[in-house]
Amino acid sequence: MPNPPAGPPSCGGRASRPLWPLLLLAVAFASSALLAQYQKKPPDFGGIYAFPTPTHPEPRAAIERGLDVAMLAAGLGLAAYLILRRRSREGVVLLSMGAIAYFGFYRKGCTCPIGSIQNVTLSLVDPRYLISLGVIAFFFLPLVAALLFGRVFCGGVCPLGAVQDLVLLRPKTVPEKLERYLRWLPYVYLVVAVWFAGWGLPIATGASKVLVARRFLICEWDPFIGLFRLSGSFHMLAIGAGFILVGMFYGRPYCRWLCPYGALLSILSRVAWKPVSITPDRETYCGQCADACPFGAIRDFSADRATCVACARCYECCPREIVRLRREGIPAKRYVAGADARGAS
Amino acid sequence: MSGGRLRAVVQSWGGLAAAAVALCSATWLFAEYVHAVRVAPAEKALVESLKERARTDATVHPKLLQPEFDRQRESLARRHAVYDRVGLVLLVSLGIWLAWFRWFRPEPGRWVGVPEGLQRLLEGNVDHPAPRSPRPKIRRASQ
Repeated sequence: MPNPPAGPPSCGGRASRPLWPLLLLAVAFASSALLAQYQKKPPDFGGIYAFPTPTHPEPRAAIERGLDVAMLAAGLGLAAYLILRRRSREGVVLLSMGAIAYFGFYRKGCTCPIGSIQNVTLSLVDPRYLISLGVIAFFFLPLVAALLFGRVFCGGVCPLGAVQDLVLLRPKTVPEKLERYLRWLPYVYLVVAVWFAGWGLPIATGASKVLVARRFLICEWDPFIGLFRLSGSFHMLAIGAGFILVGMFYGRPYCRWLCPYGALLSILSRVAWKPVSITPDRETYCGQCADACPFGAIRDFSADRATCVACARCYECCPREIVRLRREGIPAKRYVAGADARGAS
Repeated sequence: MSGGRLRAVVQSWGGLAAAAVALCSATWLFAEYVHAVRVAPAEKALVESLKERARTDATVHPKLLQPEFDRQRESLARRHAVYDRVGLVLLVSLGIWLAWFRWFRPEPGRWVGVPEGLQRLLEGNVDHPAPRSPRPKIRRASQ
């Protein structure tokens, strides 16, 4: 079988961008948040009165919080290695299970980068609200990882995504038009969540004035927190069960159509330095990867940077990947029927 | 029964047993919750009425109100124990079923004793959408 012509660099090629502008952007992000902690000091009226230092006791010792950050950083590094270098779906699944165990059940889903959006917002808006460096790290590390490698956080480290990924048993596709509309929901949710976290909802109607206090909507409506904590109100457990049930047929419904942090990551991953590249070497234009992707994230034989959650499923079905594995003497066991038969020449 | 056949039987039925346990646990939890929601207002009203009576009758507290408090507390403790234990059983059995379905299901034709209709339901591609029929390669114009 003759080899098809090589495609553009984005089709399975190793698209890369200069690294330094992204690093500069990441440093600017991080430093702005750090400065925001101290930019609004209370006014000094003189006299002997000393303002009390606001304290927000953390539930964990400093060393344990450091361990959380270290685990997150290690998880992101490992995810990037497994997804981009090893190209191992099995490794990603194992990492996901580890993330569920540690960030999910052991840490009970808190602190998570998704919820940290609200902490960072409130700390920027309200000078009395201070957040720890750990929370800042949780907010920024996955964003930096997205700038470098795409949504590797979603693929292997996020416990919410991992739960949905593991329960995906009979993937079905959503009509493209509906999918296009649904993809706007995370951005809407992000704006609403940031607004509620920072300002609340003051409504004035005529003489009456309704004030809804600041609320952490993302945490209040986290569908899997009840699962990780093994307790919760009935409606939250029911919502979690509903997401799991839907997630058996439609890949990662929360990540794709609701997650506000996913919205941030998808914005940043558009300019990622080294994103997911499906084919290891030469593009065969067989379309197996697009068929295998349960998220509809592969268009024109390349992974859409914004929607690809770096789950590594496409590698399993790529004929060229099978050829690569054979060449390296790695047994290829679980592949979609037909991929092997159509292995590239 | 030979070891191989025993293993095949366990592999065929293990996941189904886990699914049955999960289903029973979920039903039990849901029934406990519904029961609690139904009786809670009546129990609260009973305690309130007993409190009202206890204001004028000193014998009501030791004879009626305290025993009712104790009964409700025991009932609550029992319900919480059910939630904790059965919830854990539900979680573990769901995990076992999921792992079985993804990784340990028998290959097609190796099921033992499982009705054919159920086999058809449980077989098939996991994790990926069903593969489509082979289609001709799309050749792009050379650039």
